[in-house]
Amino acid sequence: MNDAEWDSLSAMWTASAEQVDAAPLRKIVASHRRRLIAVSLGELAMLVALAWLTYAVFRDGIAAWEMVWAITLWGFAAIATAFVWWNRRATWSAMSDSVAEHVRLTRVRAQRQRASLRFGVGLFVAEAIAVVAQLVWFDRFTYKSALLLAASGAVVAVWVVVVSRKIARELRVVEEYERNS
Amino acid sequence: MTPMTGDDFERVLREYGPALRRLASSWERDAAAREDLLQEILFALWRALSNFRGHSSEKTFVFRVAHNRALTHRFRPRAENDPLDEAMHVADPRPSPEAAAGSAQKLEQLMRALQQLPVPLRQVLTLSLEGLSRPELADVLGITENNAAVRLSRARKALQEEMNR
Repeated sequence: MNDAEWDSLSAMWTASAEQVDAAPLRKIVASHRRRLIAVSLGELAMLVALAWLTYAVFRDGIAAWEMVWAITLWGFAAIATAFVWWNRRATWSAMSDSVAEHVRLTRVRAQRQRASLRFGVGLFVAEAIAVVAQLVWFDRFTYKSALLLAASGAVVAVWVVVVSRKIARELRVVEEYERNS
Repeated sequence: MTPMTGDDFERVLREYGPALRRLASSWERDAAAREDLLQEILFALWRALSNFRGHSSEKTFVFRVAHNRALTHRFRPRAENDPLDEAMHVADPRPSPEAAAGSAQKLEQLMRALQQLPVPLRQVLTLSLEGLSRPELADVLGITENNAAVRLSRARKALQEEMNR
């Protein structure tokens, strides 16, 4: 393609100048704000619920199993939170970074997500073992608790499959991009 | 430089809206998917503009955000065979019915050819079609000017081949 042909294509390209309608964007912005508020309230509600549960368990005196339960709950929550913060290091990117930087950070984020997945599964297994051991030790392991544990396992398995597929898709796009660069 | 206000954003929309619509058209054949991508780009721009401090030109800033958002849009699961959409959603100034028909056909051919190309080649072509200079291409893509020139040359050749098919 010579320069004259290219210039003609470029002129034709820029001649198509349909303006954008900002109305749908206003709706997206409003919905984004609502979602942010809902997420913040949801996180706060979860924290309050856990704190209230701990208080409810402790208010009539602390039995040995209650102490072990509370340590397990808050201990694993602290480990998970610390890991999430540590795993996010240096992955923040502004959308205004160059495309090459955006692609590099996308790869890093996908790899970190994969690490989160492995960590999440490991933590779940460790917590399940700890909880079952406590329940058996204090003679509180019932059919109901086994069912609850199995249901939690199913939720974690679904999460692993969904996130793994998402990560694989992202890495495929990144690899394709790098191959063609 | 002070962060951008709502009025600034309206101006940016007016100034770059058509270019962003063209960009979305070069990524998506399906009209609904194209509109979704356009709105995603505008939303990303709305979020990013408050951080614009004038360290680069406004034009390269807008195109960096738009191309990064378009790339992220690619992460979503896609139908293997998107139905071809006959309406390309790009307005065509009509000098005469014959010329308009020829021009619209050529534009459609260009869009389809662009959609067939690998993303890095498509990016450099659409940026160049928008009139960005080599240094601006390099700035948006995060590569050297030499690399930008090589990639553009490769992309133009690939586009020619695709359009001749």
